[in-house]
Amino acid sequence: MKFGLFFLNLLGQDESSEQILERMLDTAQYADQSHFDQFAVYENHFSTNGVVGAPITVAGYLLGLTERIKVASLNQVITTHHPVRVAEEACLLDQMSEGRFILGFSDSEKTQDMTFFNRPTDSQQQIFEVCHEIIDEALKTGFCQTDNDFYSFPRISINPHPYTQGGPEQFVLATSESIVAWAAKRALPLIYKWDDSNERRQALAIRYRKTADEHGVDIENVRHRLTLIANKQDTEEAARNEVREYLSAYIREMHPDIDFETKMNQLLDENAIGVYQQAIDKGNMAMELCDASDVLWSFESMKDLDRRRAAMNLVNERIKSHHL
Amino acid sequence: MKFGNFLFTYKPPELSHREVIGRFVNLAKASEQCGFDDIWLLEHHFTDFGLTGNLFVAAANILGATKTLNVGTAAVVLPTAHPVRQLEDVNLLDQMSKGRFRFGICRGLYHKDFRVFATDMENSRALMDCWYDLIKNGMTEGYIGADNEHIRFPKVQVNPKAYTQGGAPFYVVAESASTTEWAAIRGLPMIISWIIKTSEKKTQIELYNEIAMENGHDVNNIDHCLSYITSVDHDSQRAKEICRDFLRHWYDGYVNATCIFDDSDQTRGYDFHKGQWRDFVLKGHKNTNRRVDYSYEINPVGTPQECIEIIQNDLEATGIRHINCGFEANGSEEEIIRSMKMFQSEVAPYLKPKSESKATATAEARLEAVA
Repeated sequence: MKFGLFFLNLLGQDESSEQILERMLDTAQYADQSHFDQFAVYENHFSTNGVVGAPITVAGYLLGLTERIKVASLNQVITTHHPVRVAEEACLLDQMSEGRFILGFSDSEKTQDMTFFNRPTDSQQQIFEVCHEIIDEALKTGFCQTDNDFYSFPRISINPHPYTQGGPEQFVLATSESIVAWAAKRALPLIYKWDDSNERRQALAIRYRKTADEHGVDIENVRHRLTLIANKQDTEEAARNEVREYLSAYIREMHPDIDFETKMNQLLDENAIGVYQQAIDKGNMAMELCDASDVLWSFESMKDLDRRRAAMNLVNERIKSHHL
Repeated sequence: MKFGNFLFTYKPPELSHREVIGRFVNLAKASEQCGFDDIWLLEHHFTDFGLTGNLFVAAANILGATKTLNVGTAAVVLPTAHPVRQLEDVNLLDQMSKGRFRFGICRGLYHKDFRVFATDMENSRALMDCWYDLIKNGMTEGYIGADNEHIRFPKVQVNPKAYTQGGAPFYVVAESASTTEWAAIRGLPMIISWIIKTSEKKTQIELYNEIAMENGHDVNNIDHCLSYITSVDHDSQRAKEICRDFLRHWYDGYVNATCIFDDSDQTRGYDFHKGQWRDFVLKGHKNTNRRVDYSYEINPVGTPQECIEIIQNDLEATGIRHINCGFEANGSEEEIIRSMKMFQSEVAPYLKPKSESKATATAEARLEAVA
């Protein structure tokens, strides 16, 4: 099992972009000295629920800042971006970091982003598949060309060509059954969402296995990742309260159709939130249910940096004793 | 005086992509160690003429790996990417680096970029104008929205906000009179080409100063940059010969990377570049070797004393106090760094800016003459 961190970079009340990004950089540098294996950076536009619109750019900065750790985009939205630019950026970081960049991508969780970037919402899955086909060809061969309803250009060299043979590692955000089935046919690893329920993730895992089986795809070596919010305190109530405050605006924006209290309590129950052993047990349970091999934590709800570091130290010690 | 280093990431035939990018990262870090104030990155797509297509990502990596070095783009092709994405990128770099990012822009010269990114090349000037206004307003207001003939999207909140008051500083790659005028109206610093003579640089700055002053800008506080191909060696001939093969390939790469210079090309809006190329051809500079020799006449390629004379001449003529040198033609990585160090120790300390009073007097005299 590998352990990592992910950064949502949610902007709370009375907080500035500067503070949020500074905390991310501080946490990243601290984690680079430990046994964490990777970071992932979340993409969000036009709301306080994430101040990073360009996760590959931030990954570039983190790769320059660190020496050892791998850095991923958690959900680079390839459907709303130009696929050639995504491929160029991924290859460039693969080269500049000598193989430490991982391309995590998604279709698009927000319809308004599709509309904003002038993409037809009724063709989301088709555009996503076309974009990935272009990116994947570029990452694997250093070249691409296409001619379809969405993009048309002659064969071009994507520069620089990738450092890693076959291109940088990839994973896709498990946003829907159709994306999970698409990934299973290609043996592409998933990254499960922290704001899905255990039940939902379990259903997606079953769908992945079933689709792979139906298409004769060998998924034995596929390593899925799970993202979880982590908050460790002396009492469960204190941890739940801190996370509740941290996630309120996010839940209201991203889950407007679900009763707020129901969704909040489900997230507080199923993420790694509480006293130490409770948080570990909930994390283990979530991992077992969705077949994840690796887990990425967000400690960002812990505003006090000393307390955040202390919680990271506990996880780091656990990695050292049980997983190295 | 400020000193910068241009990093081309040109791929000569004998180097692999791995070697070019590895060297690029090492030269960026070495620039900080050698005491350069800034480095400047060039955007190119789908060609060996330069391997960095996304300058925001490249700049991010270098800013993360350095502590004091400023990192600029020279330049981002503004019209070919969505202005909101560019604003998000610029603000992120401005924030994470605490103000060390410099946003150099241009309107683009290469057909294939416009073709692949589905942008009308003949409309590049209007798009640059529109994108600049949107981005600049977004930096200062924290919101961006558009409803015009070029682009339409609702007003949205920009995250993160700019770190630098007013946003990361802009620079404009300016070659033609119309771009010079565009930059002057806005009071934006220019990055001036290394393929023009001192007299042309002087004329360009005079034109700029005249228009900038008319528009209420203080021309003494505008951070224009002079660009150079640079090679410093105690043996003048060696300084020239070590660069020749690289420059020959690089110059050919430039000409081949765009259709602008084809006689049959009909693209509108690029008359200046076509005219400049025709002048080159008439002077016999279509021959690459002659073009290299010509560039040695106007760039600091030679002994420290020769370099000082060439640059000082331009400083006196233009009043500019910021120069950017490209050392990448100097052979191996070790040889490039040796030339960078020699420049910093034996050239840079002896360069003197033209006094401010002289610069103002020249600009005012020019303005009076025109009036």
